[in-house]
Amino acid sequence: MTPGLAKTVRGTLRSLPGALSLTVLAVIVAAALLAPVLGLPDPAEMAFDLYQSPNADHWLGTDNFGRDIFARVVWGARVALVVAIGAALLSILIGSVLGAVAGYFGGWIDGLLSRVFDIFLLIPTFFLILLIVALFGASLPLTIVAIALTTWPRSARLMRSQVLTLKSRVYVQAALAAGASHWWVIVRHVIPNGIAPIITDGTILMGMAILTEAGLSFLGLGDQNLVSWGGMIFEGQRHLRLAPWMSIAPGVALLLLVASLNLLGDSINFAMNPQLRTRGGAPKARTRVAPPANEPEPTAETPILEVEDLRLVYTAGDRKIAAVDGVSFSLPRGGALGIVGESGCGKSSLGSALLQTMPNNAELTSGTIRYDGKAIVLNGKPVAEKGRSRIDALRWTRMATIFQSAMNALNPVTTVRRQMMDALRLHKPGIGKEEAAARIGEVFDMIGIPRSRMNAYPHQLSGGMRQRAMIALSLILEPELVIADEPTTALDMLIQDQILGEIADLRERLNLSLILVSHDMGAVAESCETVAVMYAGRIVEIAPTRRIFDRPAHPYTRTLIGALPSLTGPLEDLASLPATDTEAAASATGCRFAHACPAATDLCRAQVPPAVDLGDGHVSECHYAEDFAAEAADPQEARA
Amino acid sequence: MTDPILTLDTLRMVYNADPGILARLTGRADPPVIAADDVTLHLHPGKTLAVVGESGSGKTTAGRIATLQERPTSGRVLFEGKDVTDLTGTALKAFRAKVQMIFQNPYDALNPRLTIGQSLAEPLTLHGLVPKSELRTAVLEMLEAVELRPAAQFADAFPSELSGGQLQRIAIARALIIKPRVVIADEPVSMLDVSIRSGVMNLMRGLQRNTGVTYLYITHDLSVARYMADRIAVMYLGAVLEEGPAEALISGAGHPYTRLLIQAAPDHRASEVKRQRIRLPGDAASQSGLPTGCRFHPRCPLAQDVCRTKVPPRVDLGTGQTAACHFAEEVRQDGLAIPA
Repeated sequence: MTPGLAKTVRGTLRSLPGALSLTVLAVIVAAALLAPVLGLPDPAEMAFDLYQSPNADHWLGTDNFGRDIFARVVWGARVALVVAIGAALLSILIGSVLGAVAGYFGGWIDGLLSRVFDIFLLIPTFFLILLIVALFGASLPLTIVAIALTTWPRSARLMRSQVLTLKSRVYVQAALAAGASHWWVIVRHVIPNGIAPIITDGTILMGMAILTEAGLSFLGLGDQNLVSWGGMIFEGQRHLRLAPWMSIAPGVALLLLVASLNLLGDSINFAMNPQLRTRGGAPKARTRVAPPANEPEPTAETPILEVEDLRLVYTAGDRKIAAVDGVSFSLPRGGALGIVGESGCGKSSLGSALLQTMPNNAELTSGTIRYDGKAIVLNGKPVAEKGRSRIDALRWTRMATIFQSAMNALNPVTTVRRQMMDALRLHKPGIGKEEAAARIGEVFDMIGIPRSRMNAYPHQLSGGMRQRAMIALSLILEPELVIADEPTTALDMLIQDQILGEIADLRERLNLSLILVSHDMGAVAESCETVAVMYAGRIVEIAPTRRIFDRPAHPYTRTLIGALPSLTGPLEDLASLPATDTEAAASATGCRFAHACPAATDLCRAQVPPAVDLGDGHVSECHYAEDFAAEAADPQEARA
Repeated sequence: MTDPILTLDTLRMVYNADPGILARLTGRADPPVIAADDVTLHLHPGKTLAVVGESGSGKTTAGRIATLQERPTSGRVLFEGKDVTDLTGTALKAFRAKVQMIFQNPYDALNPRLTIGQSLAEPLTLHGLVPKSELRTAVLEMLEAVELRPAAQFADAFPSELSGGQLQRIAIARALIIKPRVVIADEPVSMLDVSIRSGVMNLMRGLQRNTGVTYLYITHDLSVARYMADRIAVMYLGAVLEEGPAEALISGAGHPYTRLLIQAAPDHRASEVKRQRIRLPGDAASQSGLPTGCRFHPRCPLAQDVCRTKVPPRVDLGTGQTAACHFAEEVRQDGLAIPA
């Protein structure tokens, strides 16, 4: 069983509706299977005790021929299940094969098959079955075939849309490139990965099939030799006043079976599809605190941003993950700090914590953030003043952000100019229309977007222009601090370089302070005076840029730098690093890098390293920081 | 130099060349997109050719044609001297056993419902290279070769249990398990963390040393190309602008575009002084509306009148380096200093 399947099964079993419906289904299936050996009275045996209400001998009473209704309900389950399983299997088989073929090959094959699906969807199920019964007489297999014939296009359409995305998946391409035939690919790679929603839909299909069969029998068109719930209800309704239990019992059985099938379908879908689960639930009302008494007035020397012992914890199910685990730093006004690290190290979480834009399942458990000397977060709690969070007053107007994906961050149905106008008007209510227009033009010039493109919609701009528009939007309110999270990652090399150039240029002209979050050491090296290296939620080393590249004093930083290919200097073999084991890092009793560190000792595994201050703002969290710094200072030795 | 093992000969690839009657009548025909224009590349056995370019440069198209996943509009693909452009059926399958592919996205490279062992065994089964009883041994050997140990444990794992770096190693193993002569690798490390990229690159280099496999390495990153390749071809808007031995091309580029790429690459070894950036006049042009003359002229800081009107010749700069620029000699001598 693949882990994904195991997870779905576990998820279904754990949810209340899933467990409930599976229990009901198990009881019905067991009863149907065991019907002959349960010692029930013969469901067809007639007796003289007609119309008996439920009693000790006949749990659900007897019918107009004196037959035991409980026995008939149990035997009726067999018919219901055979119809359900038979019709659903047949329908899924035809549907998924034809749907897969249509989606996979596309073109005229798809066009033709899709029309066939439509035609079959038009045939009314009941009409077709009436026709079949009229022509060939009532029989269970024919009913099953008829139901399948009118329901398979459901599965076919589902499979087709699945395959349309699956066929561009890399593993499908890889199998083709490896020399596999189309049929091999469809059977081995496409259908197994596309079948899940069809199985879910199959449970609904089973319910429909049961109802259709019951309806037929109710009309007297079922196989008269079989005990069917529909037939029982049909007979019961003629004796409704005398013996209501005759129709109630099979009716309830029908209801239970169909309801539990539908419920099961829903819970499987829910378990399989994490997107249906809201991330972290509803937004939590975060307790706000008053600002601390007698905060000193900021001076020119006050850092623009000060962070102390910040901790951010995500709750995922019953697990808690500390993405930011005790981070402190301080950014002087006009300074630029680069935060680098691999994915999952907590650098983006840190960025979102600074702006208080974390997702709902994230929480600050400790830490203080001061903006220009004023606390905006105190001991993990947002600071409010006169009923308003301080961060709300700062966000965008004084602290702005540049996101990685401009396409997602810009509103696609509004022009770029309109969005900037809205931002201006919202934050500066008094601003006149002309003044606003002048300001927008100014920002466009500054960032290098021709004014002719001002009225473009985001999708009409190239990737580079969109990213510029994003930057323009963040600068429109003249912020003092910009937090840029991977601002150039999705861009081409030349454009990336240009955008970094624009950011550097703007910093100088507007005296902006900058926090640049990036995985790209090179980009950070060129744009920032200080670099902080994050690993598993902590800043393991922070230093002035040149210093950290020339004399890295943490083994993680050293390997990271050694792993970068370069266009200058001699061509050397690159260092490589084992992948970070986040579990091992989180559960480490000593240094969290010890499990992957080439130089780890027993001390590292046992004791959390102290923050070693190497002077000039260079701090490294390593037991051997001083040795590394000394060693790196001597390039001859460092090479060896 | 030895004979090339794989040659892309004057390839041209045009999408939407024929929009169809309906689209033409309704006036909604998409303009034709020239994804490859007169592309000629040679792969020499046991060597690596890196194709460097931005998105839309046609580098991926070149790779897809080299594996015959797509057929060119015109031009030929030669494998071991034979024209394979139009192969079908069993001949195509035999070609596939010799020319394999590694894709960019390792997280999507393996069927999530198969174990690693099953995925690795698939190419062997497809080509009937190893009897069923020996499949497991072959798989374990290959896992050892890509340094995934303990191999047996990895063979029984599912893709969702592995990290990106491990998945890409598996993808490399799958491409190499049938001992192909050529492997086309399309940005194999660009989706991995910087810290583990080098491990995968070193692995590929080691495997080349051990097996003599030939790589066509597609990347947007010149520094990666320099590390991996013997020769580099720089592509832009479907055409090869410059081609040559890796070190020669990086130290003495003859095309302004190559120069700009080198300058744009962020370098942590750069000196304290921030480099002066040249503000480029234009944004990237698109493949459907190619400029006249030199295709790079709208963004070129050196563009002259001749660049706007005349398609530049392919200038031979000696030592196997060529550049498609009217001023190739000057650019190689003086870099981006504007010629008089």
